[in-house]
Amino acid sequence: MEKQAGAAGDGVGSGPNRKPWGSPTCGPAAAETVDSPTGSHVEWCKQLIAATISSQISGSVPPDIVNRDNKAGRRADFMNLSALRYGAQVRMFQNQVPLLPGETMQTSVKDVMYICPFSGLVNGTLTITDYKLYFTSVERESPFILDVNLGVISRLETISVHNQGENTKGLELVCKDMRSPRFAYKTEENHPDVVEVLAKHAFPLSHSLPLFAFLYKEQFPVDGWKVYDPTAEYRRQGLPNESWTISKINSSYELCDTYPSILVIPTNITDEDIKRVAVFRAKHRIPVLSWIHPESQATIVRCSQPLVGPSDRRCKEDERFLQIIMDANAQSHKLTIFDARQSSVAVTNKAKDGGYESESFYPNVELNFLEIPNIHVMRESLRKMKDVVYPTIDEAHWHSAIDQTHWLEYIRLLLAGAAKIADKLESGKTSVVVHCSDGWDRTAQLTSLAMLMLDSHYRTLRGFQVLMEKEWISFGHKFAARVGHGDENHANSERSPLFVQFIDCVWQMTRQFPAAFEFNELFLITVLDHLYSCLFGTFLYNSEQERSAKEVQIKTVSLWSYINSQPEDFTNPFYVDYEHHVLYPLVSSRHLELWSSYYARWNPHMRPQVPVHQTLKELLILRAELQRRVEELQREASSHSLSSSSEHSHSPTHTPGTPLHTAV
Amino acid sequence: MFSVKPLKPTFKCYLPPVQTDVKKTIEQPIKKLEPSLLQGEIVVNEVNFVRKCISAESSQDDLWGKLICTNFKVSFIPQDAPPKQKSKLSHLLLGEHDIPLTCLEQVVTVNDTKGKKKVLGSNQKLKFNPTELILYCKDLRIIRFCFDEAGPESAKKVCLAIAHYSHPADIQLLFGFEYQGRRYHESKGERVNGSTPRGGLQTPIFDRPSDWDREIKRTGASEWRVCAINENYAISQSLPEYIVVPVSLADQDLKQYSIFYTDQRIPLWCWNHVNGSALVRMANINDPLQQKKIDQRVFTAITKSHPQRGEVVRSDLDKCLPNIQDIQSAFVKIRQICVIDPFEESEERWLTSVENSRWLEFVRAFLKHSAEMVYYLEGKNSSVVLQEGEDRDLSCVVSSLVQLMLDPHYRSLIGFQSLVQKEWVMAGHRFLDRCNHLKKNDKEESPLFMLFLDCVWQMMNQYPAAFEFTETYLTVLSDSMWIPLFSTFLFNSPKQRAQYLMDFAKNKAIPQGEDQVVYFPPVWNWSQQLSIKDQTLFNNPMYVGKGAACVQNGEVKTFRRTKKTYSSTMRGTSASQRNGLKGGEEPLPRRGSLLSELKPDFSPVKDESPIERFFRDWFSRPADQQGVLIPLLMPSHVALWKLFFLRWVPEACIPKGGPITAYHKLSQLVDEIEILQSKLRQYKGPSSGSTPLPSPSGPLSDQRRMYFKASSPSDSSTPPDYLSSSFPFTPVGNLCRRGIHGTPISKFLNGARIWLSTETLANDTV
Repeated sequence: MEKQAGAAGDGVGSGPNRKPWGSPTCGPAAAETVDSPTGSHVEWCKQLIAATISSQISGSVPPDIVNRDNKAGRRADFMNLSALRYGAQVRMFQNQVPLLPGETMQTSVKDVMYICPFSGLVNGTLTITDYKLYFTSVERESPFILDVNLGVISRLETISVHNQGENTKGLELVCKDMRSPRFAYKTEENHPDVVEVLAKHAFPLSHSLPLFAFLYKEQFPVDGWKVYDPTAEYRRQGLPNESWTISKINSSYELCDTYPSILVIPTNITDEDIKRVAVFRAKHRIPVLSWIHPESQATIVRCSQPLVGPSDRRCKEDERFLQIIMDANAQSHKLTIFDARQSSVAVTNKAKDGGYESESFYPNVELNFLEIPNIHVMRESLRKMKDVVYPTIDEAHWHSAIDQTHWLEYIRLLLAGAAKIADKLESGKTSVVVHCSDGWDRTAQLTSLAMLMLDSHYRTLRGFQVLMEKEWISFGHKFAARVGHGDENHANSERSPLFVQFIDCVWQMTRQFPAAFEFNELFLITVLDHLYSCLFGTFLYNSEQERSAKEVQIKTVSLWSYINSQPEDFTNPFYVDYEHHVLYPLVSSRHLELWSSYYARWNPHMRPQVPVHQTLKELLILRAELQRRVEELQREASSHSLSSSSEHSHSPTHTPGTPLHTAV
Repeated sequence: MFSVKPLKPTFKCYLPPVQTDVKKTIEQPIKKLEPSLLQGEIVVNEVNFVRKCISAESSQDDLWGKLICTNFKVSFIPQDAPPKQKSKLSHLLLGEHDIPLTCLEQVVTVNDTKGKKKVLGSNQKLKFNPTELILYCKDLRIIRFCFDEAGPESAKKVCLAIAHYSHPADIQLLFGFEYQGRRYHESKGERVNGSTPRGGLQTPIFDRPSDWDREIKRTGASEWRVCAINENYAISQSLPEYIVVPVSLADQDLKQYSIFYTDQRIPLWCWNHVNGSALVRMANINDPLQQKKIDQRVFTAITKSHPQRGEVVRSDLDKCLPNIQDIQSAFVKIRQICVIDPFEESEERWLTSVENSRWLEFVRAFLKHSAEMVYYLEGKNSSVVLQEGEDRDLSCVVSSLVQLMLDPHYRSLIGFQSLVQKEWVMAGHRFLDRCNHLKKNDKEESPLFMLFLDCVWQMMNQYPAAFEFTETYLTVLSDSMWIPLFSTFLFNSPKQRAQYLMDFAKNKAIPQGEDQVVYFPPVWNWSQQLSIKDQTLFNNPMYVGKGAACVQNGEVKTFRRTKKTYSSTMRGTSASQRNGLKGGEEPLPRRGSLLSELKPDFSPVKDESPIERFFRDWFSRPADQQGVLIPLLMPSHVALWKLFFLRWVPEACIPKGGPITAYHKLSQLVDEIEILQSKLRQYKGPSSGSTPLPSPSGPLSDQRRMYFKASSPSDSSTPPDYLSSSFPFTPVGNLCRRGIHGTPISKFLNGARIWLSTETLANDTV
């Protein structure tokens, strides 16, 4: 609208530049932002992330600001301004490199060429800190900034550069988030090599340095570590009850070192039996409750594969354990096991001492294979996807190229598997057991997606954080191994984008049910960006035990501190609580899309158009304004009419307020 | 650049082994099943005990009833009417199970026991008793009836009647000619009292000089004039009677030039930019010797009509866009994968199939070409001449898209309708041939108007607040093409329309001088088809909400739609590199250059072409939804229009989901805003003294523009359960392919092969 268009004109609009932490005013953000001690960083983060989605918010965001990979005319003005007025607080470096609290400059090199695949060569200054790489250029009519956090770097490659003189070196940063920026720079004597400095800070663990999360000193008004309290979450689910108990058997991680300390297990089982079950399950990951249906008491139980082995070993305690789980649900005399793996793989696993439950040893148990390929297949699929989307795309074969990566096919398999699980609980009133091999990859994907379909609480901003904390982080998805935080061994076959795949599935659901989720796309992208960044402690390490040993909650900041300090930015304005509604996504290729605003976001040509929610936000503001006016006039009118006519007395004083979620 | 492909639509048909499990006996019909007939509609043939198939997998939901063929529609009257679904548009002229005969694409009869199939045409014989009738509809529905319990002879007769009546020998046999005559006379009484000009229609028809005059004034085209040389179609058979031409060209000149143009279609003004540049369309000049001379004169005249004497750019559409056959074959393919192929089969490699159909590629091509024309008009201040062989197909799409991009007026409902009227109906798009209403010549059939609607949807999808109307409107409009009751889509040219309507008036004793809009109305009078309430589904809450008011300093002001926002000065001048668009084809040779080719020698990307810079600049600024709008054109930005293509596909319907759930919430919000605004007016009324106090109930009840009303706090705001991604349409019973479920795929394939080899080929020849 006109007002905002005006604001955009002076360089810093409302949009994502709004003041942190909930003040609704859309003032001149430049000043207010840096006013607060931590605001600058928050704003900066938001701008960077917002770059990827809100590229063309109508009349409210100066487009230049929101772009990591591009010229940033007004943004530089805003930097200048803040440097002048609040220099001390913001800690601007001489080259206008904004630093986070705790961040330190490492080196700065002039005359570096950024080889932009979209706009050609850019000459500028490359600065490396212990958190990021920051490239600025003032060469063109509007300044250019490229900002890459070091955590996102997967490997550093030297590339050959021709015709640029003898001492020129080429460098490519192959990143985990689907881009590979390239630079050319002159080597000089007595100057530390850029690659060396970069490698040291991009892979701190390989150089005996701490992850940046341990150096980061930001303070947020909200403590994200308090988001997930397992006991409270189980209490919300109505636990403990007569069949299920909250057990401290793993409080010192002795039973299972990759499980959380608090577990929900059946009441009627002795510690001794549990220990025997643990021996029979891979990595001691015994069947434990993830979620219980509030009405039918059917449960989602997760575990690892049974160690059946080639000789078809049995374990009486394990068989009885599953029987108890089945009995805990009075509505059904069956139990369904969903084995995420391809059946052929499950069979092969028997030879490797693993295996699956035999229906003849486990009475009334039905075993289903979901036929989902393993982590290596997924890694390869996303690698292919990178080739499709970066740096350029083949316009004529865009759709078939996506098909060839099979990425969406795997998304479809996952969503279909989760929908089967949810349906078994909801319609079949039957408890389910979910496992794959170790129970920390595909199992986490499936249980969390099924819970998202079943329980509207997980579709809220806070609830979704709880879901991730619970099913992924506390249950030992090996984030460190799968992401490779701070580790230079990029070829490690343990790496795989399973969590990215999960978030993609969630995004697909939000596309099909645009009003059912409280969080928005920016939130999902922010989560994925900080999966790699090592700025927050949330996704560090492989298990709760490791995290507690490293005192992550004491020494690092939670991503949820950042998110929940300004929830309005991550809120979907369309949100209505689909309370008690089970939402099954339609698992069809016709409705699955490539999430191009995440995967293809570095290509400025690929960005989507005006996000719809912007308009809704404007309408919400309009409604609030009108409501205020009406109330004002109503007061006026009633004071008038006391003496004169009662003409107004029959006009309704009640405003039919839609119980809409207001982000105003 | 596009190869010519055979365009005859082919439908795969799948014949599973005979289903024997459907031996459900039914009782005699107790109540009489009466069709609801329009004025002048008569029953031709009917058959009882017909089963309408609802799902391919089982017959348990199937409906039993009577199948009727009238001179207007195929009607099925179920014995036990299922409870009325709340989620449907209720059409005033057509029942839930009705299909207008004009909407039939193919009538297929099947005999399962004999393994025979025949596509029925007009006046044909059928050597077997059909056990099944499958109707493939132009609106993408597929409807299947079974005759297992019906009298074989009656079934056969109904099938033949349907086939016969859906192939009318003459345009005047289309039901509209019967219906509108009756309707005119029967509703005469109502009209006399309070009759309004043109029956109250607000959409200009462009059949009289005043409509053109108004358009000239609105766009400030002062150097252009309305010209009447084609009055009574004296010059051209396909141009409208009144056209707009450069002031500097005299009637005499135009008459002289006209003989050299195909069908005497002299250059036709479409629209003027505020900067003075004009959009003009014209046919080819047949005589190459004369071409240069006439071109020069015409172009000089166009230049003279430009206040800054801007140059004239000619775009030869035949050379840079797919032809009508390509478009038809792409549509046939996309329809095949969307509704005809078995769902599961087409799930694999879905995107590849979509790509292979080339439909989206063509949509992009038209949008892209139109965007380039926008560059010349807006960025270069040049006038643009669209040239096409006959100027009656591709030009319609491009000229209307260019105007949609440049002029916000056409993004309003009335504006859009006037655009269709001006660039399609009056410009002589051959609706009769392209729709193939008479099923006479398949080679002439091509879904150009549908392609245009898809392009509009793409723009709407990218700029959701820029259009006053919704995708439901576009879909209902596309469906209206197949209802032969409105004059809009029935004729090939204004002249043909005039002639037929004159004869019609004579035959039906309609007084001379009566306005044809009154006696044979266009589609734009939506109350013919839908209730006022259902018409509110056309209103886009985002547009309404923004347009309603904007609050400044606590004052509610009417939203100003500024024309000035055309100029780029509003949006700052920074030339940052965002969303830059690639240059296009022909006149812009640097295709594909910006993106990839970082030269190995690291030289910076060579200077952009001006058009690349124009697009890059435009995309670097926030889009003003009331200004120029240029669509993004990477393949990722052009999507399949799901509501249109998938609304009948039950497997693709998202229960409780889809974009409609966001629309629901937005509508409620806007409704609430409007209630608040009316209250505000109410309170301010007495204090200002002049305005009369509105009634306390407000202006609301009948003026509320939103389909979904603001709920009271006690209601749940959860979207109602009946919403689905197909809303307001429902796939139930509207898409019944012959199922392959429950049959092993190999068995099915074997069966199909045997069947194909013996019977189909012989029987398929129509």
